[in-house]
Amino acid sequence: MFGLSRKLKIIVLAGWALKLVLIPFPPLQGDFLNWIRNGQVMSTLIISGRFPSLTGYGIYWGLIMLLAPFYWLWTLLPIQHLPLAELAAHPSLARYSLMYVMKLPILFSDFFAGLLVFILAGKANPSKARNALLSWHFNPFNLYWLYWNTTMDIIPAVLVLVAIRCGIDRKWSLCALCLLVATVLRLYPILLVPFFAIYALREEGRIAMKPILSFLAFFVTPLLLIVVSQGIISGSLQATLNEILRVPVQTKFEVSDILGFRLADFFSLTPFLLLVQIYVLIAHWKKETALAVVVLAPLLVIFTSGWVFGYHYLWASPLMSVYYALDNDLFLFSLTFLSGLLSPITSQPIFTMYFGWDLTYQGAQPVIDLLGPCMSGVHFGTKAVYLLKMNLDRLRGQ
Amino acid sequence: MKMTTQRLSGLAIFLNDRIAFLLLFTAVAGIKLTLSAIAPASYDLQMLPASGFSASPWIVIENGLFEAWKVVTSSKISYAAWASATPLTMDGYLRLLSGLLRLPAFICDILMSVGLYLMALKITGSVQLGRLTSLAWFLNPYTLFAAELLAVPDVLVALLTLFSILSLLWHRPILSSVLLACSIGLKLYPILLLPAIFIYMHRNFEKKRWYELCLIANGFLGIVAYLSWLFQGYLSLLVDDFTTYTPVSQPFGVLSIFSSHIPLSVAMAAVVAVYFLAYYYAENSSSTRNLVHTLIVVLLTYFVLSDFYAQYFIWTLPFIILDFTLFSRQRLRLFVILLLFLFGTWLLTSGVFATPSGYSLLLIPLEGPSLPSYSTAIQKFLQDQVTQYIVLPLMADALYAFALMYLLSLVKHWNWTGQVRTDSR
Repeated sequence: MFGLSRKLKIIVLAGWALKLVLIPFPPLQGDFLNWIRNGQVMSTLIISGRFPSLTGYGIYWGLIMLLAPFYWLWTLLPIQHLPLAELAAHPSLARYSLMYVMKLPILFSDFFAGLLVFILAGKANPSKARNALLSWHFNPFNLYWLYWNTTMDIIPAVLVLVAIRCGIDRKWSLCALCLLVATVLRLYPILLVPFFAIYALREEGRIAMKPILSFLAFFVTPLLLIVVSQGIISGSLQATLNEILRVPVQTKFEVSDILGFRLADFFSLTPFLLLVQIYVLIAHWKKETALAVVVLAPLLVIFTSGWVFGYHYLWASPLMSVYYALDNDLFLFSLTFLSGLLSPITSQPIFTMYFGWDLTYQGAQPVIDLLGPCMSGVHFGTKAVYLLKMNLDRLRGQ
Repeated sequence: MKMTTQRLSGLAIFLNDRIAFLLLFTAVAGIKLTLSAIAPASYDLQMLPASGFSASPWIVIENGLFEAWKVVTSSKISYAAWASATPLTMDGYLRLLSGLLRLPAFICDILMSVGLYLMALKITGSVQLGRLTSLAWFLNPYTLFAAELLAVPDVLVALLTLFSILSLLWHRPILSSVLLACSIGLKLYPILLLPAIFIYMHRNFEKKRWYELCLIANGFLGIVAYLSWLFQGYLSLLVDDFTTYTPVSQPFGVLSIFSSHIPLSVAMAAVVAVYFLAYYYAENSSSTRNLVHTLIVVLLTYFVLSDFYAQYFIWTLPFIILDFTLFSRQRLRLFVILLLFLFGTWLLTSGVFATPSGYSLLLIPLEGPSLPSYSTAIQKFLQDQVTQYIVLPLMADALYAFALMYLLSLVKHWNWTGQVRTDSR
């Protein structure tokens, strides 16, 4: 398995055992409960023959659609299916089974992410592929956000990894399809498309129009299908179009997250820096640069130029493990993820939500006030270092 | 040694002649002591007993001096009475108290000059450059205001930090760690400098694991010491202190009002980035010059990205002096401009060094009946909207811009392009 020694195989399997054990422990609340609740509603809708509304779920539509079958699967289990509120309040077999079933997408994604990290790292630096795999598998940041917080963002992240794999193999249509599905699931991969396109143009020359057109075709076709199908359901094409156009407005917080810090009324940092990154990529990066690195750069731009939730960093986490195989800087890697893990943990809501501790009452708020910004600062600093180093090293011809 | 003192013909006699140097030093020390005794109490001195941090080592020293003064003079004058006394109403005893309470800062000032002399001597082996460095500190008007007149405890912290670096150059890493711990124990900011010392130890010492461990342990002890006396103060003040002044919690709102609720220390992020970039790209990360430059870059980065008090520039000043006296005389011009804007901002934000007595530290009356015309003009200028909304922001912006330029003038020499360079020191 992965060319690992017997000892390492045991360690990896122990890691999987730990993950399986971790699954039922977190409280059934917060985002995870929202995912289940929405999965339940959507599953019921689909079973009753109705098409779930786009505007009702905004950009989470895709992920919830993906989770609905898992909820349906749970309803098939021969156990007593208690209401969600009761499941959340009291531990029971039904609750644990629900947690296992609804976290299956996480388990699968985690496995495939590890596999793809190993493959992509192996393409870039075969001798360090194992390090990359282990850095993914045992990263406490990943463990926390995947198995404690149940962050579904890993699913589009895996699709981006698959797109990279397809891009390396020059299977551009498949690459475009993966990017499209990832975009439907979580918006951000659309920002990566220019970077894939630039890589494709450099690799293929004019033939690269194929992946770009593929992407457009793949993107537009399902959109048209949705429009038409929704139009048939609602009886009005115009109403359906309006509904679709309102999706970004309905989820404006998600969009503004990706746009980054606003430095003036009409000036957001992320698009500006993404354009700079595109210029640097075209003008200064060598053609031979690994696609995984090309794709990681815009993700780091997003994470250094705006404030996103801690779990969003899972978008970049697998690629960071791949980059670790190239860079081999364990200290920087560890500091990035440790500070990333600690910065949200040191915020009051997390303590209240997961542990029920009122830190203000217990007098620890000043420490939280200190550690939160400090850890966030370290996390932002290390991400900025990665981005700068990545660019500077390319400028230096490394 | 390429740099000589020939171009400094005006200062040459003081640099070449030991007696002349000592005479100049003594004369300036005399002036500083006299001003210490004459000047009214600054807000920093007035606030000492009332600050709530009575366990602070600096306040313990100051309170001890005050009690000693009371015993020696048998005086029953309260601290508040002294703090509000004007230069005209002070009698001999009160002037003695003024001088006494400023004595620790004065001693630190002298020791800082000695430390800089020894450091320059260690780096260059030149007595003249040692004297030049020492005078650049001691004759600097900034040190007079920050150390003697305002009497901020930061001068002691800066002194301990400097001697920590000096111990490192003397190949006494344990002593260096202990001194750094002491400085962290007094004020948290030297923790920012710990990685620079760590990198230097890593590159220059054998048995480095042991020394590095000592450094980290001492850094931790320093934080514990700092918190131990800080926690004896009021918790609300602690929160205020953490969220307003310390290096680790400057909110992003300072840079962008749209994100004032984001708990992100931009200064911390920048300092972390600076350290990694220094480690990867500094021209010769084992050299003393690089150590000094890294310390300046880190402190100026924090300075540029946080809501800084002008007197805190004393953290950076010793290293900047070492830089322009020993490494690049060209940066002296940049420093002078920076210092001018620093003074300008300082004068405007402090109300021309206003004190509780109604007098300025410049001995100008600013409050009270029958003010002279120049005092009225100063007050009018300070309160004018043009000053508040145009002159002060422009002055502060220029200050930050020149601090950034100084910083960039240092990092531009880093090995960004990957070409191999050699370094003499």
